Amino acid sequence: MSVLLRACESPIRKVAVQEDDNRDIEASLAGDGEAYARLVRRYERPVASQMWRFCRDRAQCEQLVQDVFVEAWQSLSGYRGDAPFLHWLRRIATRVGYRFWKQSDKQAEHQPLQPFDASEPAGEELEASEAAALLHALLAKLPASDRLVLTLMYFEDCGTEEIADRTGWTRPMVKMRAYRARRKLKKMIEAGNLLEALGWTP
Amino acid sequence: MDALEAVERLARKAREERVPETDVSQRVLMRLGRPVSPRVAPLGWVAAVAAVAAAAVLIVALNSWISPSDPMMDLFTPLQVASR
Repeated sequence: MSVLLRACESPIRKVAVQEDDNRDIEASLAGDGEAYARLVRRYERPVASQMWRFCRDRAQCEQLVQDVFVEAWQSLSGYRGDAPFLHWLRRIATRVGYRFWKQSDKQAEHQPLQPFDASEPAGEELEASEAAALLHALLAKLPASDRLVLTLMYFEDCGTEEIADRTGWTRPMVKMRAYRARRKLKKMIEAGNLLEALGWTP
Repeated sequence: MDALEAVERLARKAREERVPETDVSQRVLMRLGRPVSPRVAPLGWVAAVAAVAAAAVLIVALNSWISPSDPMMDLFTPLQVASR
């Protein structure tokens, strides 16, 4: 499996994918729906993975993935091809996810930290999905702009440069938002005694 | 452990999560209502309608310009008729 993954990331494979992308983009622009369906199938997995960080409801996540590809179609003629198609899609996905959060914020729906209110500490045995749900719920308590920076930083492992690229914000702005957001997050964790609930206190 | 170190640790674990599979290509095409060309955006239609409306206004304006009537004539014509 790892050999396969490495093969997928090889430069030859990347060039081949880019050629396929360019061909399908041109055909899509000429009105070929099947070519666009191929692009969707090629990239829906990484896009879904990104949208799952914005929304942990499966049906809503699928809706967001659709929104990304519909928006990408509408601005496809603006894709210049100077960066891989996936990078361009990720920028759209970030915009769609951010917009979703801002709309959700108006309804003030935040997930409570219910699973960790229990007296039994989770300790070392925390599952990946539990960790993701907890982190998602923690970040959901922050304003949308802070949440976006930290989501990209923690879930997507992005550096400030990539966050700036995906959000369209300047790098100093991203750094400042990250700094402030982490400070808020720290206060929130300390106030909620989360470390004790997790059993991660020394 | 510091609170932010705990978040880093949570994040490392969270990144291992398996994300649910999706299959949206057909629904995307349905939403796009094939065979819509991406070059024809809604704004294009708005521009086309605006251009047609502008052309109509131009035609009416040109007709008015070609045969202008002096507004003072409307004032003096009844007086001239009365004086006769």
